[in-house]
Amino acid sequence: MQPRLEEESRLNLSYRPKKYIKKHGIAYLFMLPAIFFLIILFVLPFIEVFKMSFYSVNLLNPEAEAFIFLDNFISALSDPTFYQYLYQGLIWTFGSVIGEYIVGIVTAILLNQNIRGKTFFRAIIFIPWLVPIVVAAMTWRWILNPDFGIFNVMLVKVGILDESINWLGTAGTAMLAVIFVNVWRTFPFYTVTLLAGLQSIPKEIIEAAEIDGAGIWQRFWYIILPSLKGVSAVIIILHVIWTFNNFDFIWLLTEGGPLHATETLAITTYLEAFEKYHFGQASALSSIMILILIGIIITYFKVEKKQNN
Amino acid sequence: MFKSRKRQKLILKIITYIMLIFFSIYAIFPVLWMFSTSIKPDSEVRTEDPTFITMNPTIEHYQSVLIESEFGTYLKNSAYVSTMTTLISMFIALLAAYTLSRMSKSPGIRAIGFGMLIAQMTPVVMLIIPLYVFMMKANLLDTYASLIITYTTFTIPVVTWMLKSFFDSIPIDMEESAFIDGCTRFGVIFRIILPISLPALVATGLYAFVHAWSEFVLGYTFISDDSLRTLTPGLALLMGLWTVDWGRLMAASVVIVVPVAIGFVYLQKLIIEGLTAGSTKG
Amino acid sequence: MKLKRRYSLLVGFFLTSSLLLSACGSSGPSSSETNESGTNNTKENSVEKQEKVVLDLWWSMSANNEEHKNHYAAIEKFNQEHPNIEVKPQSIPLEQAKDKIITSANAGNPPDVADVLNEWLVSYHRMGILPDLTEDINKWEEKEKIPQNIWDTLSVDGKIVAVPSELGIRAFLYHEDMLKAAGAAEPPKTWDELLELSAKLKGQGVAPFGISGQSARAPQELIVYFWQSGTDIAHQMPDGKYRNLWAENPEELQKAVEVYELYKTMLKDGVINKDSASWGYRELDTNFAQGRVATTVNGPWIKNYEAEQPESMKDVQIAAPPYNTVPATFMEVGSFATFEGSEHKKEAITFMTWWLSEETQKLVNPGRSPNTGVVQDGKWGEGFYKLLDQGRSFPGISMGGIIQPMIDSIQKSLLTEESPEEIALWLGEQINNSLKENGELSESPAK
Repeated sequence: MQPRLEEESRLNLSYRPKKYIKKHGIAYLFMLPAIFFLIILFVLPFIEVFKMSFYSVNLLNPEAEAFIFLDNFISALSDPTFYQYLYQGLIWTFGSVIGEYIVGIVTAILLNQNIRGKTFFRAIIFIPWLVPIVVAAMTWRWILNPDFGIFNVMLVKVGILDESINWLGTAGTAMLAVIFVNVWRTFPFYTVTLLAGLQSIPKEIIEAAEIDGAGIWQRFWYIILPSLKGVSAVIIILHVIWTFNNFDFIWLLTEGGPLHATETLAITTYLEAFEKYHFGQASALSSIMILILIGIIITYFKVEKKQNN
Repeated sequence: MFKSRKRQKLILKIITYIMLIFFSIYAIFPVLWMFSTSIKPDSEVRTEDPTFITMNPTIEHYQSVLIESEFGTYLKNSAYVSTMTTLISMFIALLAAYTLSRMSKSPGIRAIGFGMLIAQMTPVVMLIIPLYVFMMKANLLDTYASLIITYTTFTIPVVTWMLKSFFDSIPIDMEESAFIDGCTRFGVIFRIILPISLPALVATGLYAFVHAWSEFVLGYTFISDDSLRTLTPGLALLMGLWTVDWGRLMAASVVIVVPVAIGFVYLQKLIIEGLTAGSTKG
Repeated sequence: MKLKRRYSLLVGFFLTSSLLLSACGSSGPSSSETNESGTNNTKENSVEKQEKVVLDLWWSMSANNEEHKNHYAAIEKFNQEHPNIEVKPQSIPLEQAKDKIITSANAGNPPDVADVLNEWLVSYHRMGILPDLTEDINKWEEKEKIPQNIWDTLSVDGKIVAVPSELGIRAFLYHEDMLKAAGAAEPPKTWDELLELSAKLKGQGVAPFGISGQSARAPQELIVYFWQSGTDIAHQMPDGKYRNLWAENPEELQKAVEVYELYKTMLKDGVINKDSASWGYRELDTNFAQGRVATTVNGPWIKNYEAEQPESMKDVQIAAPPYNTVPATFMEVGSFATFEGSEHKKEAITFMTWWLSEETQKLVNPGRSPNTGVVQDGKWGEGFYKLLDQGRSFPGISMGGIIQPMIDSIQKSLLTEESPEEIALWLGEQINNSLKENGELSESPAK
């Protein structure tokens, strides 16, 4: 018996590489097109940007380009406004995402009910997402205008307000107003995705729970929410990334004002690049922002791992 | 016992309707405003006393936008670019998402997935110039391809991750029994996974489409030729240096929003009918 | 099964790549022919077409716009009169054009001619993308018909880098009926007269005067107040470079202080709307057109509001802006520029000067022409023209890092308790920092 085993094991060894390809080859094949796109159009430019953060690149002074290693980073981090804008950026990000999620899941649940006019409501709730950013921003700015905007006019007529509030122009309300409009524009995405997730929950589970006497809140908290966990996590993470990096929406509404009350790092980066033409500094800021985002996401994954254990 | 149950259900239904109406108002309010502006004559567009209703509705703005301008062309271009982007990115992302979900143990796969997330983190602002240089060198400026390729690249990571999370929730037993029956990976994807994930595919496909449809910055950077221009950069033409043609701008915006909304409604109806006609999960 | 799978994979890839390729093809024949970045294709085509030069023109005019009909007619005319040149216009709105020109020029692929604002010229020049046009302009027969201060606005370091096409001078616009009701026979000539008038106008429930606290308009208004007080955001020093003098020269500082005192007074006395800090140009222009603001310093585009607000725009009149000690106003000069990366600079210059000629200007720009041979009568034409001598623009420095601090300084004066002196010193510091970063700061000793 023994010599035969040895022979067999020798044969197995020589087949290993082929087995490896058979086992894993498909994975790489399927990933190939995605990787192809990402390398050419993301990785390469991304590396260029990262490289630029170590140079002093000023389009207005092409001869002054020099390798200055960490100087861009140091000057960014030693600017006190950096921390203010970072803080405001985090409020903007998490305020928006939390608002969007809440409105999203509530509307998703509502739209999942068996009521007449379902399709009609779905179409309406879907619409804000479709409005181009430029138009959405200009329209909201017009609506919220203290002098001729209909929002204030209505609130005053109805008696809720004594006089118009300059929503976007007052430091105390500006960030709130901006988040409010952002939630308006973004929540349909959550609705559509979470609705799809809700539709994949087998009806029997919910019905069984109902028969067992679980109330609405319990059904929601213990069955529905956990089943949506995976999908929720993904859209929340994606939106944290996008919202943190988003510049044009705040810019179109307030230009970072009043007096920088709504300025975020993303806006600062844009101004560095396309107003001051300091591309080195802008690249360094982008790199820092990316590191912060990576930090947030790694923290999330670590926490999730802990919870699963 | 029965009566209070029925009552409870009725109350719930009423609450549901009220809340839906509330959210609908929140969602549609600005768009109603846009629509009402688009049918007002110029003299009423911006007044001291803003109202929703006008006594003199006019279709001149729509006429001007749809017939007398190039918006028909822009619409066609956007439709083409968005559709192509959706099809291509969905196909690629489908494969990638399946891999991330089912074959994540293969070395490097999880890293690639994570890499996709990181790729999302670069602010587009910084990518504009390197992408422009690439398109220029590849002689792709002023082509549909430049937009399709770029939009697809930006969409793939998002759609991949979203589909992955949906796939994660599909139990693996069905596939395993299909393997035993002799099905290939590819077959499994198309015959088993896809039909079940229809709602997810609609959601992510919608995302890909809308993202391409409303994209602005790369649209005006890569395309200068008017015959290839897409809708959202086309909008900017209605905004002069210090002036805005509000009537036409609002009409154009309604034109941008309405077809997609209607398309969504019909698609939804189709999908839902398809779902309820055949499958309940399990 | 295996064969089937491989086959379907291949079909999939084939489909997508053929779709992509068809996307390349369907872009039409236009792109390779008009792309002036110097591919071999282009050169061959131009040889075949009897050396016909195609000029890529990026401008803010739109073929769909009634008001631009004459512009397109002019292009037709040029093409007919110059059989060896064909101008191909493409519509790019100004705000996007600014960035797009930078992107394409830095990649070596600029258009041949582009619509630019004079404010961008210094930055463009520093990037090295603008050729020196002085020689060609000096040879042009109609050069003298353009006022020298316009050529100066389009020059950097003494070199002319753009050709003017349209003027946007700021004037004092007012609702005549409101002034009459307040008992004022004439519009105010000085800041003090403006404040006096405002006290009388307040009773009518309108904001007497309108300003911008935000957006691109705000720095344009602010700098005029500095000029009208006899100072500037930066002075050119003997070594050719620039410096802000407020920190080192108490007289200059005092002039700047007066400007911020004006803003604060206007807010305190209700001369301007209390929300002015958040007014961008749209809010300001709309409020004026709707008659909620009685007077403002603004430009010829307000005319466009006549269609929107026929009633309230009826009584609008034009006068010189009220000044402190020196009459001055902001002059925005829309112009054409050509770029270093273009292979057809000579033809571009031919086109740009042709556009500026009296004949063409009469056709396209009767009301706002830089060519003094063409002046339109009536309030919208003549009213602004009278102010040509007073017209100035930003000094020859890169404004990129200065625009935002200028806006901030206005907002500080309107929203915070900082003193005018603190604000002026702060802005002066920001200006000098920006000059330093761009290598424009002068080291010459103070005069």
